[in-house]
Amino acid sequence: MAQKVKNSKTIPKSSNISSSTKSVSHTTNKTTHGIFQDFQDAFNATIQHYWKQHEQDKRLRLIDIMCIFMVVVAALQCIFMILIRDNFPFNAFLSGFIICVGQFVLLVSLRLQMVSDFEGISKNRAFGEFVIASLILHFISLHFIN
Amino acid sequence: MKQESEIVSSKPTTKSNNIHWCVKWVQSILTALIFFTIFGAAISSRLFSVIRFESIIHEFDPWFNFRATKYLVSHSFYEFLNWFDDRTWYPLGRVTGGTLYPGLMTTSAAVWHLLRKIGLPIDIRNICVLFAPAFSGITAWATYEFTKEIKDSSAGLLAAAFMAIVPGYISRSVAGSYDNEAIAITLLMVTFMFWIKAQKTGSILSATAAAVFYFYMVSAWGGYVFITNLIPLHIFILILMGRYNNRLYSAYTTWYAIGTLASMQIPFVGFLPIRSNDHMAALGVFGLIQIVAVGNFVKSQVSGKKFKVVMLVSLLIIFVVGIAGLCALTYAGFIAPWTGRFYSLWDTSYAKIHIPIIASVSEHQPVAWPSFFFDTHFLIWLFPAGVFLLFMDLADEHVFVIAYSVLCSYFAGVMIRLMLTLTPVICVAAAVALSKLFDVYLNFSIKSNSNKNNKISYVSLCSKVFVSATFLFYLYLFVYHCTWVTSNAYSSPSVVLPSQTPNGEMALIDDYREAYYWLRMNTAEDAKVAAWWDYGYQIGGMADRTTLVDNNTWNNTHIAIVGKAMASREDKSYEILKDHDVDYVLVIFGGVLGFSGDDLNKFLWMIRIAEGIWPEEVKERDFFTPQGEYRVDAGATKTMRESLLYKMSYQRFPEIYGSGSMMDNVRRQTISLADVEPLDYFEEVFTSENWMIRIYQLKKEDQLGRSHKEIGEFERSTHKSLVRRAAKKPDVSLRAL
Amino acid sequence: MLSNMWGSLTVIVTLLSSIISAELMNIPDSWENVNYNRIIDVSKSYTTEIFEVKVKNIGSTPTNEYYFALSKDIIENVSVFTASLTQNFQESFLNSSILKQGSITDGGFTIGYSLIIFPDDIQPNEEVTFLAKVIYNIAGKPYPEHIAMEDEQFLLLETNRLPLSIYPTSQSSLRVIGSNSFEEIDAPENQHLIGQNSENGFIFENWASIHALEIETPLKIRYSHNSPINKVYKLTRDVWLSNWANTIQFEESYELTNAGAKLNKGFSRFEYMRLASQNKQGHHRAIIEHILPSDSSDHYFTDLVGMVSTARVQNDHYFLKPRYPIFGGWNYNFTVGWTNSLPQFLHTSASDVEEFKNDNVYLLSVPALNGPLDTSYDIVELSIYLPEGAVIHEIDPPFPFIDLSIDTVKSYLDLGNGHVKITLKFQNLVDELSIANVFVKYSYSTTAMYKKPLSIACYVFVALISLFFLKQIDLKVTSTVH
Repeated sequence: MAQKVKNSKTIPKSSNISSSTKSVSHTTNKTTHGIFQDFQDAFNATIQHYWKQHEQDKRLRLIDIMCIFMVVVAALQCIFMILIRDNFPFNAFLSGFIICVGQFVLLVSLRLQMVSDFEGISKNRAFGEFVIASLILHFISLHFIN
Repeated sequence: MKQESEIVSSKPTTKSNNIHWCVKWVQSILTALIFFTIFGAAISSRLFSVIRFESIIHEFDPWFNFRATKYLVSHSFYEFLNWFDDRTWYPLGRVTGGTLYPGLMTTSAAVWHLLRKIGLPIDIRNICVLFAPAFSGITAWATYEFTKEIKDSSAGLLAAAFMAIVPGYISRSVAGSYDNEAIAITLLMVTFMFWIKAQKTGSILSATAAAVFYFYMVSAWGGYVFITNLIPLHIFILILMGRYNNRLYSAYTTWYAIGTLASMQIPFVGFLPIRSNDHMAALGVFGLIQIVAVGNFVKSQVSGKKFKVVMLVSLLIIFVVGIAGLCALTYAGFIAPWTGRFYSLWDTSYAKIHIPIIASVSEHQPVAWPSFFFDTHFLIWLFPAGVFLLFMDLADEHVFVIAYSVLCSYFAGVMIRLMLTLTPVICVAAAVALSKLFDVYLNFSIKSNSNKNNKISYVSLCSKVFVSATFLFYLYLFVYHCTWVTSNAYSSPSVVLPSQTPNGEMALIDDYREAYYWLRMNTAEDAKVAAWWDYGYQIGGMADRTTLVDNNTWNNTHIAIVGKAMASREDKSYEILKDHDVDYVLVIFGGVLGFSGDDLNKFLWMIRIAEGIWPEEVKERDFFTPQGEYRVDAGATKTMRESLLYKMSYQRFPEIYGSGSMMDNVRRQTISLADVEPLDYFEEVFTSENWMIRIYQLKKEDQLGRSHKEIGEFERSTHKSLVRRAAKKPDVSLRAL
Repeated sequence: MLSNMWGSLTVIVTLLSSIISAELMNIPDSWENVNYNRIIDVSKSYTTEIFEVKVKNIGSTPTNEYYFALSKDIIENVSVFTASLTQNFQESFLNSSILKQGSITDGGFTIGYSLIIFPDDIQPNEEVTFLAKVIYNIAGKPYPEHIAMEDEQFLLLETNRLPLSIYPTSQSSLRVIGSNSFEEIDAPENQHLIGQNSENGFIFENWASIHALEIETPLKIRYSHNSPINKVYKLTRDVWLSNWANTIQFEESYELTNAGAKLNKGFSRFEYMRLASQNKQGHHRAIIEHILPSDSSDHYFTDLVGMVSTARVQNDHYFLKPRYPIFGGWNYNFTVGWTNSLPQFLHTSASDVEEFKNDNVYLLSVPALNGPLDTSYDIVELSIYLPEGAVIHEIDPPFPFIDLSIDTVKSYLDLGNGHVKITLKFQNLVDELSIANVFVKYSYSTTAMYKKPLSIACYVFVALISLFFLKQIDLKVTSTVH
């Protein structure tokens, strides 16, 4: 797996080849504590970057809040289903759940485009596409929910 | 042939800015013209059957689709979806609305309504007949757009031209072949086209369009599972290659979320997308891409070294949990295991052993090698070349084509009907190869050569001319081959058989419709007809009578009942059929005409299917002679001669020419009068002109309470004493009618 | 002779679906039948009776009304009733009409009447001879009902033996023709009443002095009729006119049956082939001979499951071979169609009405029937589709109809109201009536003629323009959305 990632052209920060091969053998010798340490470092760095993004663009915050809301709603539905131990109108549950998932991934897709444009698609256009896709998603979901 | 040469000439050869717009204008005109000719070629080459025969629905399944469409046109859409058909699968009935793919019928009904709105009240039958040719034009366009994304527009035009006339596709889309595949291939190509666009640009809109067309595809054909697995496979391979990027994320997740939710709207599909294993790969990749996306985000922030550790660990955990969960869910029954048809894809002998009903369908047989050439001509050897060329570039979208071609080549080898899904990719790959070739060898621009030696340029010119001419000649052969195959192999409606009169004129053998129409006109409207399932849809569509079993082979037991009745002794069959309220039994018999697809040749499948349910009562072995031969003449086994189908097929057959024995033209065996025992429980009520269809009626219960056998024996004894075989029967000529 | 008959329009064909009222009509006994000769022709799928009656006014006042009695069955199925006078070798038709009222005899026999009106009053004791012809849609019943394929088919004719009349008859005769063998069933003991086979049919002795309404043992004759009995339950006949293409298209859908004897066993193809090899004329219908107007083209023969390839045209005769031979009791629904040139049936005429002076006024005359010979029809629905925008002035059917409706039907590229459709419904017709023409006078203005292609062009133009604009709008939506 690691070998594969190395070949990737899309990663801007790819380090030089010799050090990375070395590090593979290096890590295998490390203790679990070392792995945990690496994990924490990576986590911290990511979180830092994430907050930085938020400060740069307020819209991202809005999207992320929405994303979290989606996750919460989906989780609530799941919990409710488990609590009543019945999934009787299964289609209703499914459409409720999937629309959360769908809206979530749409939001993430939009967010990705907000951070860095895809080639040939401006931010405005991306938003327009997002709106259309969301509308279609909601329409289908409403139809499915009966 | 015209199209190809135009494609070549449409290429811009000048760089001058002054006349750039002019070239562009000419180019677009030419493109439009080429499309026009491609449409013309696609549609006209599919009209052979209409011209040669008539505007008629072909084969078997289309008759059901046609019947369903007529129902949809005369009822509302909701009635259609809730349609419970009590005229098939008597006495069970069929929840037709919930067990069909409504895409085809809905589309043609929509076309019908639309045309009525604009003042063209075309008969629904004609819409159904011309449906496939019309959609083949759209397929050609979608193939063009698809190939344009893969290479360029010249390759696209070539691919479109190939797609329009390639026999592999024509075989399922001639006029009258009103089947799900007719629209499905179009939708397949449109979905792929949008997918490639979405995957390239990351556009949510394109992905949504792909999802919408995926939904359309789900509504039209069971083969949608192919898309459901191919697109995730594409993504999975790209991820494995380390080619993940955010565009892939946005394209795939959008497609999956909308596509899955939408596909569950089809009643027949229902909750399969989250329950069946066939769809799990897509779900798995959906989960995977989320993780990869997070990983990618993390990776952009931390050093490669640390990232690898993080990834390795988390991946390991996720895989273990995922696979364990999947197994547990399958085991607990939340997820349906793979279906039989799916297994038979991997193991070709699986069906033969376990599910004779699947194996008995001719289109589920493995492909014979010559048919690859037959169906695609020279594209079949351009195809690997094209795939190789794509390997050389190996852009993201090329991976898709490669995955598609590898997967489909295998499937097509297993099941002949999947040849249909292979055909588009063959066209695309071959077009890529050919257009690459033409890029090089049809480039006669002198500019590049002007500075060089004249000699060399002449030599290269010669070789260029030679190669181009060769391939142009191949193209010509291809067109010729396509026309020939289409007109000779794929344009027969199979309801009507062509033949020749003694004077050499063309005549039609119309026995099917003769018998079906007789049934329709002269039997009670609620009469039940027992026939082998192959003819169920046709009886429903043409004779408009209730059938026991039909081509929608959803209930194996019910089919086995008919198989058992056909294979059993007369008295037993009578009871079985009487229990199911059967009034008429219809058998197909090709012995007079030499039609090999008759019931006696399908008899072994009937026996096998019946044996699967009642191994005690029906035994395949009993129908073979001790030497293991399938005999129908004097050497036939007792069980064979006593079986209902045998008796019904040969009843009065040996007497035709008065000699008391007659050669069966299919099995090349001579049947004599002594071989065929009389029928006591059934009465012949109709036999078509060439004896192809024979209809028998179940005799009514005797008023005196005698069994039919007793009556028959009594009558025979009195008849014998009266006639004493004095009357000599005169010769009869078959064609004298 | 026949065309003359139709042309004179004195023919009265009356169709009665209403039940004859039971009350006895009050009919003056002013007549006596001096001579009452009746000939029954059973050669066809329907029955024709010809009466030659010499009557004498025995009353005291001159009268011109003669009540001709017919049995209820005949009245209910009557197709044609004509009465004519033969004077000086010239035939002139009389006014006659079938009355709704009837009467019941003492024996419980229901009788209906046709009223014949002579042109001049007949003085007391004056004699006059008239001819009456009645065609009715009843064929003999198969007797026996079930026969084998190679058997000869016999039919049973049931009718009254003695003349049925409200007036006394002094001399009468009866002859049944149309078959080569007759045999009386349940013959009465009175030898005087029994008929005999002869070259000219089945002839009965002359009977003298019969009372009015003397109903005795009915007559039952079994006769050989070894050909199918064509009966059409319903014929839907569509006639489409196109002033643009200058064509007239006919399409007829038949619901045909063979009312003959049914097979006693199932149909055996083997037996059928044996029969065919012997070239025996059977009681089934293997070929339907359709008679078309001259110079027709574009023929087709289809049924509910598609085209039937076994048909050919020869000298305006369209020989149709049905998918299967039609035996007794079997049905066969089919559709035939063909095209003729319009001027064959359409004539321009001037209009008397001021309003339509400038329009083109046309007179259409199409045959009422074109079907096979020897056929009777229960219901015939004739629809004539005039071009979109045509105005009907006059409709003149040759015989009474039971229903007439005018509405519009949208056909190909009818963007306005659609084709003008005239539907005439007839009952109990026979093939002999196919000579009669239906006349329709209509006007179709030049503006209406050009309106259609113009409006089509307009719609296409609008569609293209809107497509163009839609494309423009569509682009904007995706690029300027915020």
